[in-house]
Amino acid sequence: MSIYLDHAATSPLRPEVRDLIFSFYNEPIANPSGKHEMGRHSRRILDDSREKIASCFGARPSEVIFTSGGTESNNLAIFGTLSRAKEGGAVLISQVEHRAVLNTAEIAAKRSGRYLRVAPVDSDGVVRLESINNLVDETVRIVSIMASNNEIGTIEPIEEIAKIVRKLSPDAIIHTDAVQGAHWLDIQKLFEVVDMMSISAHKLGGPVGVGALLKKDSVKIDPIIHGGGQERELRSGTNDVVGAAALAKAVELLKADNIEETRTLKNQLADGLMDSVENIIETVPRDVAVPGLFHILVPGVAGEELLYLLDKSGVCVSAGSACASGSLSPSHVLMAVDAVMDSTAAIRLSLGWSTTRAEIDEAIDKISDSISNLRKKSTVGI
Amino acid sequence: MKIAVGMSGGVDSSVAAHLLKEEGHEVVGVTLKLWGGLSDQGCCSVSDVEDARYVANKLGIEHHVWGFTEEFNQYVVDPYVYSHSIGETPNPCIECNKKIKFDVMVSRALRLGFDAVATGHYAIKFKDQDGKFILRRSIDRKKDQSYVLSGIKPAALEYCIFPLGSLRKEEVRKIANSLGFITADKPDSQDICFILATGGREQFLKERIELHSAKVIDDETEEVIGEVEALEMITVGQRRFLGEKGDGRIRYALKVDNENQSVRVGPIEKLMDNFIELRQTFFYDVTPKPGDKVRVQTSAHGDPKEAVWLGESRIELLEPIRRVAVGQTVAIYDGEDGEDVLGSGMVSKCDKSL
Repeated sequence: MSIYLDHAATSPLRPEVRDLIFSFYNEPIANPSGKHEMGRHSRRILDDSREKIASCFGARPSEVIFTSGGTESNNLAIFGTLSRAKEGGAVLISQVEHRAVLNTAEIAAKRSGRYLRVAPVDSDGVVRLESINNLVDETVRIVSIMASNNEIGTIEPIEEIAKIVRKLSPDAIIHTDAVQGAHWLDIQKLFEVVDMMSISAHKLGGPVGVGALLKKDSVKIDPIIHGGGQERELRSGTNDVVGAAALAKAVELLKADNIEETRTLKNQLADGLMDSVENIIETVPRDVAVPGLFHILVPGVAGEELLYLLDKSGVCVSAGSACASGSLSPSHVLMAVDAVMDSTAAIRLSLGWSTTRAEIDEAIDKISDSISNLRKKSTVGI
Repeated sequence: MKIAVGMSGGVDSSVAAHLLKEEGHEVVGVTLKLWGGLSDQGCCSVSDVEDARYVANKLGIEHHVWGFTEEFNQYVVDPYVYSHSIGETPNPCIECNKKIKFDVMVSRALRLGFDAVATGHYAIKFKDQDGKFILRRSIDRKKDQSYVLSGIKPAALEYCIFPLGSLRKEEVRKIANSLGFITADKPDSQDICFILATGGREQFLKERIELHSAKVIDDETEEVIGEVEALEMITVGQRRFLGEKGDGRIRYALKVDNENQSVRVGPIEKLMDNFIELRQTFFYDVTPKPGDKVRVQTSAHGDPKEAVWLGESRIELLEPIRRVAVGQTVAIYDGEDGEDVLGSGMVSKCDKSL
């Protein structure tokens, strides 16, 4: 049995969601636009799902736009906003955004002739509020800062950022990529202070391929995918009814999750590793990160080698960020928090709904074995 | 044995992996990510990694990507640029074999519990009755790659496996075709993997070092007969792009004189040498004694030449050869039939006398 500590990459499908998906496939799912009973049946499932999600986020059903996932939601938020915004001006993001925001904002700004402003973070990965003060003025059209970081887990002060932005640039749209944070943060409060928010089902125990952009009704954006005008003209394409229902189920299940249990497990993992392995570094303090994510630096060990041995011993974790060719390259996030060191492995351990105490205990043993094995062999070579 | 097979995404390494698996070894495919910049082909592009992965899937073996971009820069690219900057002619493929594939990669493989590293090179390596490790030319003479492997450190030879050494290229393609590998018809890689076909060597160097113009001096008359734009681009032995005088005489680059910013040119006779002096010379298990007959090869597909090992890194050729540029590798083979690689060195001087 493998020990799965890679929930931040994809959280395994929750049994309740899986059962729901299977139940739908026992009957034909019609196009919800169909003018017949089966079509109306699909429409009811879709409406119902939208309503459930809305209620979890303290939103109105009309404020939920289904998409194919986090990346599309981010693209829709950024391109959709800039398409309608006043000409010129600037786009503001943080230094540690996921590439789905980083690259999108860069391209969107470039194509529409705007400046990209990048807010720096402190050594814990927290966006510096004084920099928001300096970087925001009335020319800022959109601010997109993540709710929590995908690599090191740092929670960003979205509420404070939003306050500053509202004061200095009342017309600016505030978006947050909550793909990593939705599981762990107060999503109602988060949506209350922003204009738009991206979420993705597969980080929450739902399937890959469905997500949503939550958007306040008062905020107007243009679509990026054109066609039949589904999702109130904002996202064309036949609705993924089963995906929507699965996302709704995954979001609903969050309410019942006890994140304090996860926090306890993470602390046990962290303490266990600190006790059993010499010279490992917690990349950021535990309490600045979400309960499900623990990031460590392991000096004297190559990331790829540690990952290989962990893989062999059945422990699934992530190291660095995987680039297109599959090899590891220094991550912009680790560089931003000054955590890139020579011959040092950077390992992300992420927990979720399926993580158990037994898994954590076994993980501690296997990780410490792999690290000491590699350190012992550090001089092996030609 | 547990073997890491370097899979470049080409046909040769695909078949090498297959053959080892057939022999019953535990085989893991590894593609190296070496070059972080732009490239046309070679070991580093996303499509080559994908090709290797498809083949690994077909073989039912695991596939991993090992990133050695920093090491590649440090041990291959930077020295390549430096070598050009001082007027030498480097061979980065040999350096990559020596420092990356059969050092950095082998070291990692050993740390991770592998017994050996295999590649799709055409060469034979075996252990003789005395327990010595021998590196030998492949059966397919046209494809023989013992020259580019001749820099492999003696300590690494033990851990190398070359499954294609006794096969012909046609047979390798046939095997790949019969197994339906998508790499079966891929052309052989030719050029330096980190240099783009569009900009070439000059563009690559220009982005990294200052290129200097140089006078072209006729070695016989001491007359300045032209100018070249980049001294760093000139290789001893070349006869084109030397700012021809237009008198119909063919002149070759005899010497790249970095100090005096000049290229000395002259007729072919002046280019023919009898002596080579090497640096960084080493031998495997058999070291020739001064006076021993050896054969030397000075380029990847050049003919081996008869020579005498003089000791102290010096070689005398029995027949004169065209001057070998400083920085090039000389592979030294045994004097009997020239089959076995005894060792190698890098040219520090090639002249009519030493």
